[in-house]
Amino acid sequence: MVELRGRSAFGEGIEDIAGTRLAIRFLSPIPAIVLTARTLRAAEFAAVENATGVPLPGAPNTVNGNQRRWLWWGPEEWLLLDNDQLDGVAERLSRALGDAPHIITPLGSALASITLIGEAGRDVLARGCSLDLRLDCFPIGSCARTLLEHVPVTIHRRGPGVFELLVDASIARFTAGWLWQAAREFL
Amino acid sequence: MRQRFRLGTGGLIDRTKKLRFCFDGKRCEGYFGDTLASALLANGVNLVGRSFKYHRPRGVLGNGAEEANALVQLEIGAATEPNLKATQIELYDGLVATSQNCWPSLRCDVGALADRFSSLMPAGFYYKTFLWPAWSWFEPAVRRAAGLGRAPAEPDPACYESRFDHTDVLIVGAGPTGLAATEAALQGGRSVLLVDDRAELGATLGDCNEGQVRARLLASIERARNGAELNLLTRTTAIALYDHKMAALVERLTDHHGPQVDGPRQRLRLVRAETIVLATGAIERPLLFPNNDRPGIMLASASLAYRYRFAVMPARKVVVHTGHDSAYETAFALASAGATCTIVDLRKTVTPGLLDRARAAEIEVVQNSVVSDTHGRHGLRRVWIESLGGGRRRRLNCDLLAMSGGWTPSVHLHSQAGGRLRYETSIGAFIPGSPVPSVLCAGALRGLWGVESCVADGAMAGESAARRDVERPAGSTVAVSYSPVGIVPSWRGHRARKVWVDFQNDVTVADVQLAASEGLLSIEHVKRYTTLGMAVDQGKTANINGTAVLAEATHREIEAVGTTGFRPPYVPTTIGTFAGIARGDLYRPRRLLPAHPYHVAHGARLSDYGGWQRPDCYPVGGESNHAAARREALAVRNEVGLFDASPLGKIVVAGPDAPEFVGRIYANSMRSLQPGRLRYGLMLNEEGIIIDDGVLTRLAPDRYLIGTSSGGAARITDWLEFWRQCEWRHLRIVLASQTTTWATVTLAGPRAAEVLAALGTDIDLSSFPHLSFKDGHVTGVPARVARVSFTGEASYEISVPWSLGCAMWEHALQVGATLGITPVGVDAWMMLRIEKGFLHVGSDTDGETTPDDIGWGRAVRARTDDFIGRRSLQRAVCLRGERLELVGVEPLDLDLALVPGAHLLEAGTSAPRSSGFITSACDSPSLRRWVGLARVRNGRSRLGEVLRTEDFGRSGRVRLVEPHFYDREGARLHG
Repeated sequence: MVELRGRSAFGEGIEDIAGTRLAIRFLSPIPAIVLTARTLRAAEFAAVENATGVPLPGAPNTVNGNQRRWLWWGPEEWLLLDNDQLDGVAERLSRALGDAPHIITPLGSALASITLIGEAGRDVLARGCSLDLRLDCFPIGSCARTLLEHVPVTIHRRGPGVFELLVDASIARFTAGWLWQAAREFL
Repeated sequence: MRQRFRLGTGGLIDRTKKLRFCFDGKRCEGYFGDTLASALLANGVNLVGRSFKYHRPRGVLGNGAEEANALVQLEIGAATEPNLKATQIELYDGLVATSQNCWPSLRCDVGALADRFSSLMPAGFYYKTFLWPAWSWFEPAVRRAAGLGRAPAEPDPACYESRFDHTDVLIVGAGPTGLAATEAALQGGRSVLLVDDRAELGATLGDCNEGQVRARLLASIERARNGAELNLLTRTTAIALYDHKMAALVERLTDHHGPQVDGPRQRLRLVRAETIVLATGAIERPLLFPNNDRPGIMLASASLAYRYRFAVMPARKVVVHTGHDSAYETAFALASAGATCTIVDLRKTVTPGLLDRARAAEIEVVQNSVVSDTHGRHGLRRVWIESLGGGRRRRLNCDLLAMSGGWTPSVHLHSQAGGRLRYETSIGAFIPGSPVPSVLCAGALRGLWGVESCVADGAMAGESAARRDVERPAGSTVAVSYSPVGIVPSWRGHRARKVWVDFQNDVTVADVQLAASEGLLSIEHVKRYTTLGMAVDQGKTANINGTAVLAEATHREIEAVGTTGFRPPYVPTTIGTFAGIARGDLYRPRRLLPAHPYHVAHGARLSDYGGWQRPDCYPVGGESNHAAARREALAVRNEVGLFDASPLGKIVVAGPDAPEFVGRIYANSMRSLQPGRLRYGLMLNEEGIIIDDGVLTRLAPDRYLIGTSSGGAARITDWLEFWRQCEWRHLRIVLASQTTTWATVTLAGPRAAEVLAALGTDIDLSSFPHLSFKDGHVTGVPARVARVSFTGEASYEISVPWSLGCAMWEHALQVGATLGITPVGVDAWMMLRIEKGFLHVGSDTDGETTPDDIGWGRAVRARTDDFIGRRSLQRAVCLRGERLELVGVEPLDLDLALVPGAHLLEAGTSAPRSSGFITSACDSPSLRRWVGLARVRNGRSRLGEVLRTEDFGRSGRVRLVEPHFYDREGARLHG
């Protein structure tokens, strides 16, 4: 039988860039699971941590974990990411949550990730995002769902000059093209 | 041309850098640091342009954004820009500028005849031609004559960008006030963004020879800087101040180097600040006297700036006409440079010290007097003055008249932010009245005058900003330490037709008086009627005088007349700056289908559908788009078609109360829907209007997949979240959007099952009824297959992970090749659904359509439980009949094309009363005739009747029929 091969949401010709003041890395798809659950109790928080290895962030707009990470994604909504794989995690999560009303949505290839590394990252994002991303207002470990030049994105600050953007696969190519244009002078 | 009028020494120009430029084909020279206006004056060019309406010769009035006369067309070709103020164009080598609104030449302009006939073109001339004799006679001529410069015909070759900024304190204006405020805010440890529209900080201090004050203030900012963040933006104009302390700034990055420079030309900055200090200063007011618009009549402050900053002395004999102390400095400065000066002061009494200084400088001061006329065709030659107390006229020869009626605070941004204004009689100016929270006004903007009082007020404002005060402390009132005159109605008793109020729009005192006599009392109406305060300068010099004239003509106080609204932008802004990099492919976000690479590679015609780039059709071998769509539609009816349905919205709802939730959001009952099955449903809003339709899948007893239309995915997700989060908190459910988790390719047609089998699947296709789904694998990848149809043919929607969508699409085409598979676009898809009479929300429904209107009344009325919109369906308007009901239409006349939007009229009558309209139509390739859907008043009870269609003069007869044209029994659907 033929084997169907997946495609990058960024399409042809989009490759990692390493400039002097900014590097951009593209990752598609990024393994991701969305958990939507009503008012979780402490025991369920613990169960989720057991199942995934990372505790759920309780505070809005914060992130726990690093390689594997939970992002607070909205009221009663969390996003689990792992640059490598999330094999079997959805099943473990489902068992952990038992009867609590919840939906576990393995996003499959619905998300693409773009990481900006370098001092110019904030300047580039400022060209399309109205949020105050100064370090004291948006510290490391913050995340926000917002708009970047009309594109719905999730921004996660992973370091002083490291921003990860998560965008829908259908709009990843547009976003990459916009970033390339916005970052031109730093590349 | 030599710089005949440049002083031998002095000025803040760099005489080692000589710049060449060209004005109206004449070669001229200037220096680095010049503006186009100062360089023209240095070269003896006093006549710079022609006025808008009467083509009067005009020169330079001011030295900044207030300029009303010296508008030029800069550069040529694609980079050309019209209506730029020569006073704001920084000179660069090779600059090319041309005068505007004149033909054949600036000095000899045919249009100047208009001035002779000005009495035939009074205020509101344009509107009066609407009434009599006939607008159509005048329109072509008025349109041709209107406007000043020419817009470029080619696309703008420059590039632009925009960005958002955040700061603790934004200070607008780097004059003495802004600089002092910056120092104080920095000392308070706040981050500061200081912006000024000039090329350097403290430029206005340089204009009036206060370089030492400037150096002192800049040095203290340097000291205060210590650690605190300070961003300085020069050549940056704050064009707007919006709610929530957001300011829009336009930064001119390369304009001062000319058009052929790499990098972005301008940058739009949207700044949010915790506190905003407005130190926007004031603009000098012209005086009103007959023929006050000649070249050589200039604002006193501008003359001062040309003398000190640019070392330009465009005159030997000067008359300074004033009602304010400030113009005396101009007289002293010009006298010190060798000019013979006479001061004509409107006031009876003048600050004594000034008279002594004038005497010492051998300057004659004529008090309580007014200029009553001027003379000189292309430049000022002489003026007549007369005493306000009545006395004989006296002639003064002069080549420059510097005038000052006092100062008008630049309240624009304060007003834009919602601040009210108050008229201060003592200085004859509107100043900020009610404060705007966290927007602090300081300096000349508050009516203060004099460098030191502005420095002191700026420092206080800066301290307030550092303390995060939301308003300036009370008690700081306007201290007037001099004797300004307010606004003297010096225009009285003169030929009002020749007294210009608005130089740019050629509005005279007579025009305002005429408007008042015709009953226009509101200053806003007078603005529209006379064009007072319109166009490029928006009345920066004209508005206050216009208000005063209107007040006098209508016997009211100036405060009662008020001002027109101040709206952004403060200065004209080129449209590219707002576009930024959002041009071409980046114009707006485009969502791409997973199989987009295939669609592009195979020549699909792509269109935008709700933000998605989707194929309309796949033309092959030079066929037309329409032919391609017909071929594709026939392939679905006869063999099998493949359609990319990936954008269909997919929202999962789960939880013990999920059945209750879906019951409430659909108008038709979902109660009997069993797990594994699908059902079509209608969603209504609270008004009972259809907002979306789609297919609901019951995945499990407590889990559903809500399918929405492609364009509705995001909207319906938000709609459902609203009900879950805000209205029905008690329902134990959760929602998750999965639209782009799954790519969906749809096989439709009699051979669809064969293709699916050939793709290789572990799903049992033998017992797979219409409106059911199965999970399994297709071609070895996890897939959900649903039997649901938009075409009337047996269909299989195959959903696979998004990244595999393109591979699945290409594989299906390969496998299906021998079975006649054809890729199908949206155009054919629409033809197929019209043939079946399937509804398309948005085409066949609008903001008034209820379920009953489309024939779903019985299904909805049968419900005994509640759902969104149910109560509204009981409104009288829904029950009383006379509704537009969905029916089919077919033409009775040969060759009659049905056009969506065409009205349906009663046949046999000439009364143009519409009974409804066609909503969708196609020339059906399967039926070989036109078929359409229409909404007709009481349509369902009128089936069989014949109506007349009317479409821009093309008419024909149509019959109302049931809205099903193809396979009415649905046999093919289940095949």
